[in-house]
Order: sequence, then structure tokens, then C-alpha cells
Amino acid sequence: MLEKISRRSILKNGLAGTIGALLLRPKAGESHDIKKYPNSMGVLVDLTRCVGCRSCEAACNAEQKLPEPMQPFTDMEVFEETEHGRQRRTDETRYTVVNRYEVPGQDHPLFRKVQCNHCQEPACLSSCFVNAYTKTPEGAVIYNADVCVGCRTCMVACPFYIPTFKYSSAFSPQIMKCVFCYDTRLKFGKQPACVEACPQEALLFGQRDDLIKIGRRRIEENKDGYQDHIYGEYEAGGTSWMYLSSVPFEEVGFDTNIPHEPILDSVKNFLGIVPMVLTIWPALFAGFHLLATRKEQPRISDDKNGQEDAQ
Amino acid sequence: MKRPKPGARIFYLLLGGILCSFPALAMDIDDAPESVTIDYLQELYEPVTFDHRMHAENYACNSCHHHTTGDGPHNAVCGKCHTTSPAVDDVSCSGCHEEKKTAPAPATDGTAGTLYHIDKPGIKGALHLQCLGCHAAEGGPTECQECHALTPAGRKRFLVKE
Amino acid sequence: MKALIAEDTHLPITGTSQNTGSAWSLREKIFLGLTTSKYLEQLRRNPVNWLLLIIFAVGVPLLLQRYIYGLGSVTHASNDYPWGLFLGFGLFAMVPLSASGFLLGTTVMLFGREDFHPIERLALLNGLLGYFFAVVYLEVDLGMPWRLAYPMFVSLGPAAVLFLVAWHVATYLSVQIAELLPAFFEWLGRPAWKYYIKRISLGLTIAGIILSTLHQGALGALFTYAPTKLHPLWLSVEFMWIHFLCSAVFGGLGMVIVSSTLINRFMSWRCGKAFRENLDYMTLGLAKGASFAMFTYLVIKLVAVAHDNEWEHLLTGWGFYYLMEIGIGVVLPMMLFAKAVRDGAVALARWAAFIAVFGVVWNRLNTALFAFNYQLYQDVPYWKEIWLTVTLYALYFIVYRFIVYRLPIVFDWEEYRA
Repeated sequence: MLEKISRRSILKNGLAGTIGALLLRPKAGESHDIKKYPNSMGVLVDLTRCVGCRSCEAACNAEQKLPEPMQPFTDMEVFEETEHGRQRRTDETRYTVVNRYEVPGQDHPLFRKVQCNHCQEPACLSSCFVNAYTKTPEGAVIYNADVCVGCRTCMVACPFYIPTFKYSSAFSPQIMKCVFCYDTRLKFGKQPACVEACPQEALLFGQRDDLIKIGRRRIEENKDGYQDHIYGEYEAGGTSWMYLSSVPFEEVGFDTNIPHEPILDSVKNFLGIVPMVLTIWPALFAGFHLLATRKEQPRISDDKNGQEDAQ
Repeated sequence: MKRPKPGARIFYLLLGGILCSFPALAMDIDDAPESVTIDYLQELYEPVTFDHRMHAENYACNSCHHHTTGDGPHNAVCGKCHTTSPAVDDVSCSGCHEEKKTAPAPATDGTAGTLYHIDKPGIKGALHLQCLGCHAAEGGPTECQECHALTPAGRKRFLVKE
Repeated sequence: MKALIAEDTHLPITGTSQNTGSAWSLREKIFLGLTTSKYLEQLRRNPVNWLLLIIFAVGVPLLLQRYIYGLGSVTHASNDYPWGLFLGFGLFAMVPLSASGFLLGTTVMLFGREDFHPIERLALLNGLLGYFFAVVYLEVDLGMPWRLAYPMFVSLGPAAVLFLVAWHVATYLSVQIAELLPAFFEWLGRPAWKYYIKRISLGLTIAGIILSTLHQGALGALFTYAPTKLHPLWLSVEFMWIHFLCSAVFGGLGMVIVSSTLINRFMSWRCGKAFRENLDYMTLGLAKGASFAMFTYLVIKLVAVAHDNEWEHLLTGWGFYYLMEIGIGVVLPMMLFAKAVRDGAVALARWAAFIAVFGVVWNRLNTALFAFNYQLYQDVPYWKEIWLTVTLYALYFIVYRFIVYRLPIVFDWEEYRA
């Protein structure tokens, strides 16, 4: 009788484990195959062309109806601003910023525009446990504030430090990040507001594949003027926004240690063991239990005492 | 930003037609316009009056016009094909540089026109790239508002208080 | 309390009925068999309560501030450090220290080590409360706490590591509640209800092992989302989950020793005979287990450094800090545990347990805060964030004490003993 009970529990547990495995198993394989949409759009940013006019910042602010900053967008002193020794970054009031870099050996400063790079396999998306992020066929990584719980894992996961949180709000906080003007422009085939505003055509909107070819051509036609690398072609698995620079990328604020594989790749080690544990553990530990307690007086005999006590 | 009016142009070209009859010759300064009104960005900025005469007197035509005025290209890359190219009918910037919205798809047919000019900037980019680089090198004005006075809409966009 | 017990021979409540034979009422059980005035008197007399009062006097307004004016009003609102102390301590440190439940459950139920039975319920309670308060910390930290159930029922992202954590912590909380229900039923005077829990207890235990393996590991795996942000010595893409799981073993065991030590010392009136008499033996047993886990941990930490070929990092400032963490947080308590087990020195094992618990907390804070963004700047949490973290821990302490005072956790309910 006692044996039976424990066997039944084991069976039940095994069953529960299997169901659990089916229900809870992360679809590791599937998520890796985020579709690389062939005709997705992107932007090629040519740092050799940017003059730091901040027109893109102003256009973004207006397009996305973000709060007005204290200083006008014509104020170039913002380039001196630092916080924690770092230059300006995106936050809940700005989806894009342009920073100035004085690079030794260059007779003029260089400017780098920062905004969401719209990864091919976004880390924010793969780390989100409520599916708040979507990579659209047009190339944008968009965000749904209606399901977000505000755990901020996407901010931890983003290798480019892009998503920001509306910490100032208690009742309707949300992630704030560049969405490639998806709702207002991209989905209608229009270029984003910042690109349209750029006087220097430092930002070039087009199909990602074409942009890579154009970037390569620019490098080839002016080998002395460019680094032989398109930043974003491979970084973090490839991004929709890509960059050309005349100086090594790390000298203009880019993180050149970002792996060429998608961030998700480093998480897969763990995701792979999950189904194993879910399916093997029940049998394994039930086996241990039988081995460890076979010869002893089974604990379950307490039941009877318990019942008698209750009477 | 809204698109500029479709009818707007950069150069008032006065003499293009006459010069067509001397295709092998480079154009002459005297044939060039005194000034050109540029009003592409009129939503946010007042029109800019470009002193063409002053620039033409001080710089070679091909500093700006590549090879289209018939005096041979300044840029070595262009020189591969255009060293002996004659002047063209329409030397205005807007004659070649359209209002571009997206990067064109690279040519697949292998023709020269689509093979070599695929990365041609749009009109706004062409003007700024051409002007600003030189201004920086030659000490011309480089601050936005030194050329472009903001319109009321522009002041609103850039949050410039009165 | 001790003084009151000395005055009243009926106290403390150890069973369904009083010495006179009549049953304690629920109200009496809640008030520990004291009159209201006596109950308040013993509250006043305890200096710990005054300390708690001070913590709450500042902490409760801060908590209100957080919910009215947003997270930004009590933290640095950092976009570079999205996770601060609430998660760095409240989630990443509380959860491993709460591994005690599944560990002792496994020991007693699965391996049939009845000799650890007297401490099993304390381990289960320690586990349950740790998890529960990890969720409380989470509720303070989440931007939209009212959407806690979204990952379960509204919008599912099953490929995310956090999805696993959410589901497993939620499921495991239910498992732990089920495992502790017998104590609650005894206290309620409904021992018969235990029968149904008993029947599934083996299943619950195995479920506990699975869920714990996965979510303890998953907390570590969360940091593999930030391979460029966390210092390579703390990050091991391959072994992160097993580091977290393994350190949770000695963290959990250490925490049971700490908790039982405090209870035995400051609540001796509450401890039952079995608990008191077996505590030294059980402490040494747990110490032995912890030292083995620490040894395993050290080996796999070493493997991780070797695997990623990070030896040269050890010679940097970060390397020194890392070695300090390993040396003080793991090697030292491991040696002390080993010596304590060999010499039968229980007091030494207890000291070692305090250090081991500190070591695990230190490791988690290093991972989540200090070695995170190692290439940027060091964010030091805003004082309000620290105070709130302490406030929530004080609340945890109060609930812990409230339950240990009443439910048969460290003593046997008399009715049951028959």
C-alpha cells in the first residue's frame, strides 16, 4: 500500500513534469530564428558628414511629441554636458542625441548620433517576458506599452544602452526608445523624421542590403577617408542602423567589444538545459528517493498517526 | 519637416541654352548668374541668397560643378570617366540632384549611369555637403543660422525663444 | 516574552488545548495567549521593536512616495543601472538564501534523512518567506506592479529567461505554501486536513527541486543577456546558471543555520525539545553539506575562469576584488565549516554560516551592481533606495518572527505528538 502511494506520486509527478516541460519549455530554437526580413529598411549614418547641427534631435522631439528640453536645439553647449563622466545619452525625454568627439589628429570634431539601432535579432525583444517588443518586417523594433510590466530587463539586455524608462511616472511609466517613427512614417514607407531633417545627408534611409553596398562603395572610393568597417553590419547579429567613420569606432564612442553574434546566443546555454531538467529531474530524483529509502520505514506511515491524532 | 514646394529651384539659369552651342568649351564666369535664391527649406528657414558671382570669381567652376561646366573634374574618382566631358545643358544643382527620399537600389543591369551614380546625394545633401566642407576649409560661415534665418516654424521646431 | 512566560505557566502556547483542558481560541493564539495589554507590553519591552519603529517611521513615507511619485523619486532613476538594490538584494540575494526549503525538503523527504526533521519546517518557512519577500521587493521595483500577472496570463514571452523565473517562482511559492500548510493546519486545530498534503508531499518535493534548479539558475542566466556589461570574471556565459545554483545551496544552508541560531538564542522559549536537542547535530550536518557545496562551487568558478581564459583579469584591480569575494565569501567559511565539522565546534560553524550568507549576498550585489557596467561608472544607490530596502527587510523580519512565535515551526504541536 505504502509502496503504491509513493509510486503513484512518482507517476503523477512524472506526468506533471512532462506537462510542465511542454508548457514551460522556452522555444530556444525558434526564438533564434527571428526572421531576417529581406527587404527591411535601415539607415546608414556617415560620421564624416555629420556637422552636429542637432536638426535630427529637434525633428525627433517634434515627431515623437517628447517633452521640451530646457535648452533650444540651436544650443551647441549641450555637447559639453557630461553625467558620470559620460556624454549625453538617450533618456525619457529624448530618443536620439548627437555627441561631439574631439579625436586627436583630426582638425575638426566628429559627431555621432545615438538612437536605437534596431537590431536584426534584438536583445530587448528576446529578453522580454511579456512580448512587448516586435521586430517589424520594415525593420523597426517597436514596443507595446500596454503589456509591459516595467521590469527593465530590456535595458539590461541592450548592448547599446538604448531603452530608457519613464521613472518620473508612478501611474503610467513605460519604456521610452526610438521606434524608427514606425507608426507615423515607416509603415507608410516614409523615412524617419531625423533622416528627413538631416541637411548633410549624413543619414541615408534605404533597404538595409542596399545600404551595406553603398557603405562598401564609399569606403572603397575613399579608402583614406573611412575605416574599413561598417559598424552594425554584424554587431550584435547585425543592426538596421549602421555607421561609417573616418576614425576607429572606439574613438567616437562606439562599443567595439560587442560580439558579432546576437545577444541571445549567450543565453542559449541556459535555455538548452531547461527541457533537460524538466524531463530528467523527476525520474532522477524519484529514483534517488527509492534508493535512499527502500530499506527504511517509509515516512508515509506518519499519515496514519496523523489521522488517528485527529480523531 | 515638409517637402519644399515642387516648383522651387536653386539656380536661376540664364545662359544655359546659349552655351550649348560651344560644347567643347568651358563655361565663362560672365555667363553665370549674379546670385541664386535657394528656398528649399522654406518651412523652417528663410530663403538663402547665394552670391554666385562672388564664388565664381574666387573659385574654379569645378570646385562645385564637378565636370558639368566643361572644365574637367576636380575629384579624381569622377576623373576616371569625365576628364574630357563637355559642358552640359543644365548645370544647376537641381538638374542632377533630386529631392531624394531613400537610397536607390544599386544597379543590377551594369550600366554606367546606375553603376556609378547610385550614391548621389539629394539636393539638400548636395548643397550642404558642397558648401559646408568648403566653408570650413576656407573660413566661410559654418553656423546654421549664419546662412539660414529661422522662420517662426523653425523657431518653434528648434525651441528658440524670442 | 521570556519574562511573561515565567509568570504564566500556561505559556507559551504549544498545543490545541490549555493546561486546563479547554481549547485556545483563535484570538488567544494570535495574541500568544496574552491579554491585549500584556501583549503590547511585551512589544514595548523589546528594544528590537523600537529599532523597527525607527526604520518604518522613515521607510513607510518613502514607500508612499515611491507609489505616488514614481520610482524616480526614491532611486537614481538610472538608465545605465536599470536594476538597483531592490532587485540586486531583494531578488538576486533573497532567492538563493531561500533555497533552504528545497534543500531540507530533499534531505528529509527524498533521501529519508529523518534526523533533520526538526529543522525542516524552519527551512521551509525560511524558503517561503524569502521567496515571498523577493516578490514584495519586485512589486516595489516593477514599473507597473499591478501587472505582476501579465507574464503568466496576459502576454507571454516564453523564450525569455525571466519568463522562466516568473513562472517558477510563482509555482514554487505555491509548492512552498503547500509544504507549510500542515503547520498552519495544526495551529488552526485542523490536523486532518494535513492528510491531503502528505499524500502529494513527495511530488511537491521533486517539483521543488526542478523549479529551484531552474529558477536559481535562471537568475544567473539573466546576466548572460549582458555579456558586454558584466565583468568577465563574474560572468560566465556557459556556467552562470550552475554558479548561481551551486552558491544557492550553501547560501540556503547557511541561512538556515543563521536563522536557527538566532531563534535558538533569542526565542529559546519557543523552541521545542526536538529542535533544541538536535540543533547542534543538525547544524554540523548542514555545515558539512555547505562546505561540500562550497568546494564544488570553487571548482566550477575555477573552471569558468579557465574556460574563458580570464587569468590575466585576476591581476587587475577587478581581479583583486574578485579574489577577495571568493576568499572572504567562500574559501574562509568553507575552511571554517570544515574545521567545525571535524572538531565538532558548533559555534564555529555558526560564525561560518554568517560569513557564508554574507558571501552569497556580496556575490549577488557584485553581479547585479558593482561588477555590472564595469566599463562605465559605479552607481551608488540613493539613500532612499537603501532605506526602503532595509524597510522591506524589516518587514520580512517581522513576518518571520510573527510566524515563528505562533506556528509549530521549531516545536511540535502537542496534539500531534499524542
